[in-house]
Amino acid sequence: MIEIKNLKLHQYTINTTIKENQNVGIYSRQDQLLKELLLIVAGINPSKNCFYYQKPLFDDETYFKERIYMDCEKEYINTLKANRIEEVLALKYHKVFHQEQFKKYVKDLRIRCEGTYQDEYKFTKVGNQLVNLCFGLCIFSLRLFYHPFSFLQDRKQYEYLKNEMRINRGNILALESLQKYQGVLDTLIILSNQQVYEFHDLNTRLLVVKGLIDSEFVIDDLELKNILLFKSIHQDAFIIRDELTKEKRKKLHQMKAEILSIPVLKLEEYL
Amino acid sequence: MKKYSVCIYFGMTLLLMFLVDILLKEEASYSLYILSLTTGVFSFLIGQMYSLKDHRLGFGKTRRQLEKEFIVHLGMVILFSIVSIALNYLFIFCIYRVFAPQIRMIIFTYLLALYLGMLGLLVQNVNIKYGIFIFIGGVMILVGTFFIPNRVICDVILAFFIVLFYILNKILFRKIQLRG
Repeated sequence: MIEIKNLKLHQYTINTTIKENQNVGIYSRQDQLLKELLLIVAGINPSKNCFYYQKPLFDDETYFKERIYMDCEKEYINTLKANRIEEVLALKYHKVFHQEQFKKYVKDLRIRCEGTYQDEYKFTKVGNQLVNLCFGLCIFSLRLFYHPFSFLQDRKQYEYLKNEMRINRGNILALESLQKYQGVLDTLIILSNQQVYEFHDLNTRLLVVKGLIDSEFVIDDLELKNILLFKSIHQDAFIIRDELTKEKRKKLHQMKAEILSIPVLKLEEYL
Repeated sequence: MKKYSVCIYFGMTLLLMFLVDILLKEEASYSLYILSLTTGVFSFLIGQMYSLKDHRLGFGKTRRQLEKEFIVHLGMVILFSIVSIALNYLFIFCIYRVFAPQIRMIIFTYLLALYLGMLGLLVQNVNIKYGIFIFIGGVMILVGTFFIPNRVICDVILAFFIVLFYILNKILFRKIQLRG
């Protein structure tokens, strides 16, 4: 169990608990921030506010044995030979790797087709990401993946991996987008413009308020800041939690605002 | 990064070798040994600093473990350097009594290059196999210098060997790399 207590990161104060065998997604529009947070949770970047079973997890040997961190956009592996991967992992990192499972993934996801034949055999970006994910999923530990599906466009591929994540639970995912992760997350943590929101029920609805002349003024006037998630960049709209009082809703209607109710995982469409 | 740094190191070794050719007319200057040692240790330190941010932290090695490994490797490099310098010193001392100045110069230059090469490879890969390869090559070159009097040909041969060892290593010791 990972506990984050009063972690101050940029403008945010983060308090959360990540239980064993949970699939947790963390989303922010700032990639750098997301990475920083994941590195802190991985115990690589220093912090005194993160704990693994009540012990500070920064550089903690026990925690490091129990978890793996991977930036899925980076290259870690340049072979698909499962026995070699197993050998190196056991020798260098004392980690248990499921060879047969990896072979199955390679076959099912047709990873061998995701390579470029030049002077040396290299994986494409998609191939590399698939290898990273398959590799990670074959290690029995808590997995922290940064941008797991960022290059994956084939629905079959990421649906397959999502299914595997549902089976092999215990994944903390720093999400590059939200829509691809439908059905895999138990908890979603959103680092919004100002605050951190945690959603345990992903059917939670949010409200998109559109069509206002001066949304900034309306947010201040109706005191919506404490339920505000994001202000849209392109459209003059903003997204809030579905916690509007009757009066506020009425006022917004009077201002001829259009209010849409959307599921939390669709909020990106309105950003 | 690794590939580039190996190339840079080879380049630097060759450059130093030529510098030695120019600077060192006949007598061996031991300050160059110190220079090469410093260069080697610095490259090693930089390499290690770089690697502290690498994937190993993500895969389960803690910073403390990496630092311990770093100290062990540093000790290895220093030991290797001391042994190398001692051997070179002994060798040069011996050959000073036997060979003509011109040949001494060539031998010394190659010993220096050999030493730098070994150190460089150790630094980059922390792998003794590379050192052995370069050592065998160095010995071959050393033997070659007795038969090839032309300086340029010697240099070309040395460069050739360095490339050959790199390729050989790729072929013979090709193992899975969990990249860093």
